[in-house]
Amino acid sequence: MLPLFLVILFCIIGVITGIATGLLPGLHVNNIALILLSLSGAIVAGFSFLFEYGISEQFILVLICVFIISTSISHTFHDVIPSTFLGAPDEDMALSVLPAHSLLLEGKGYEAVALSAMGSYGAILFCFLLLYPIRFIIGNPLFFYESLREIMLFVLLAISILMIATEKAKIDDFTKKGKIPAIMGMLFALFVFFLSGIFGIVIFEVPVDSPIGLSSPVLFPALAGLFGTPTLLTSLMTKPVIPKQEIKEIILNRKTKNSSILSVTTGSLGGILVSIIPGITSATGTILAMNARGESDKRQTIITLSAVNTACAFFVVVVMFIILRSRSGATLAAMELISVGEWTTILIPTNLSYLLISLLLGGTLSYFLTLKVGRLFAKRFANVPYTLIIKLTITMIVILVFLFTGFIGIIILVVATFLGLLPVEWGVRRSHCMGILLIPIILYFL
Amino acid sequence: MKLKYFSMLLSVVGIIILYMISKFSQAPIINISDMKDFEGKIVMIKGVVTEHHLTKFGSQIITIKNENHSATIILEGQVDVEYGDKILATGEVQKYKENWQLLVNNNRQLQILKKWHNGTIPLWQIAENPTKYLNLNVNVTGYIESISNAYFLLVDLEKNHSLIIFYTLSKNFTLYPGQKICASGRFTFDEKNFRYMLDICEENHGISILARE
Repeated sequence: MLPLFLVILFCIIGVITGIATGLLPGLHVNNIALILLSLSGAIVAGFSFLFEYGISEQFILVLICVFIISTSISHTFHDVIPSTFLGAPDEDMALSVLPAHSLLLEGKGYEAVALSAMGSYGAILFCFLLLYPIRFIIGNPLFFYESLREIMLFVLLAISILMIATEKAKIDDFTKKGKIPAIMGMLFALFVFFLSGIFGIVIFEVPVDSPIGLSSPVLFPALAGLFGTPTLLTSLMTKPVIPKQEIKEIILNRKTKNSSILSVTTGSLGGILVSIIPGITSATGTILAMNARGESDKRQTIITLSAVNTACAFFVVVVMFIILRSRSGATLAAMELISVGEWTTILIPTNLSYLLISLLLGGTLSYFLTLKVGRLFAKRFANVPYTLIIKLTITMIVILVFLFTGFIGIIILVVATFLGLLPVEWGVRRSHCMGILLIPIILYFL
Repeated sequence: MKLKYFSMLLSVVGIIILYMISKFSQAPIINISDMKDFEGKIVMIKGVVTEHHLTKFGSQIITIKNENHSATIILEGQVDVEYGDKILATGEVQKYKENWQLLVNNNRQLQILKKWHNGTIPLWQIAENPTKYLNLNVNVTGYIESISNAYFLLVDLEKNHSLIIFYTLSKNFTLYPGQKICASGRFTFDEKNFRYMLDICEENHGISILARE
């Protein structure tokens, strides 16, 4: 009974942490995972009193993973709140800014949050239903992943081309005639993609070193700079005038219910694809899902985006036990902490079952908490000292980067921030910055 | 200048600066025996490959030896190395179950300095320190002395040193005593007969006939 109680307890703490990471754009769950990974020895020592009650060291490491996974799932629910109320999305929610923010300007910010929570929770249920089918498709007996690996180069090239070709930004700095602004938008997207790729190739050669002897992941300052700090800086610069918000529960008629089911389905499938293919993020999954789904209104767009985001966070955990590969910072930490045995039989591996509890429980709690926090924000968001919180978050990121990667890490963070500001300032999608991973991975498969 | 142009300029300049940092700040080359002093640090080590295999996770485990010290390299990727190749690896020093390992992130961090078949070792050099070459691929030059179906004896010009060589020969190849050859094979210890030997047993092993001086 005690192990189950501890799993539930760590899951609840994780969900609460996920609210903090979700509400503070720039503070990513990967940062939390990285810190916990470094401190895992100390955490085990701190909980050593549990040994007397039959709790092993390995189980405490499982509890840390439960915490990380609950944080990541809670994060995917709550990150819609800053993107709606501040127009300050993190990378995964970047595409939802326009629809959610425009609902806010109509006084319907809470509706945007509620729709997003519905999309995310729908994705959790959909993913749970697909647990066994996906297990048999990706792993034994169909081995879809093995087939995919053989054509991975072409898959990644196709995704890269799709991302750039579907760029809708129009850059009219040079001319406003005809289709030239749209072509310029695509060319600029290509430029950001390649520049990020070159940045990725260069930083993997740069030696980073922690001044206090921590492990030094070079991607930490790079990703924090590309997707975190530009968001925070944009938030500091944004001071929108927001009308009074109306708080009404969403009511779906039959047509919107069917449309929402379609959004959750396409979004979840997009998210599952992201959890299998290396080097792509939820933003890329969203582009794929939106293309698959076809035309939709802004409410359905919010549901699709949230479903992609949450389905990806759900399935990276499951996929980790099928193909034994990590596809996110959270699962990377989990793989370092616990033994991940391949899921080859009908029975779910024990460690996966603990993580599934945290995904389902964390998802359910997050759904209700998102509605609660969203309601609070809609009522009182004028009183929140957001500027101060954002400044503190930037300071914390800089300190963490220095502690983990030293002075060279700070240089990487600064360069990545300027690179991350490019899509924000020029109005193209921020997902093109994923060239930082996609181009090195494509070169690896060449 | 507008922020949009400013960020474009600074991101390009920043990448150039990082490129220069990567070129000018190389990790230190350390001896295998000093790895314990560099835990968690990025370093370079070099040595001769004595063992290598792939794991089911797609990474490669390579054991190298240098001056009687061995180290294990965990490579996140695969490189076409062979026993006896001299390599230089860059990675993070980690301790795993009381052993020191070098964690190498990608193939680019592992350089083959010298392929084993790109140089020959005289018999006297092997005789002087046979353990140095044990279980490695080597190229040895010498003269055939006596031949049987499965093995022959290789000697140097002065007949001071000899080495037994086991082989399987293709039909269009004839060997005879006095011939000068270069034999490529694995230098091993025959425990049963208590002697060192050269085993021509893999696809990349072989014998080439050299012109007599």
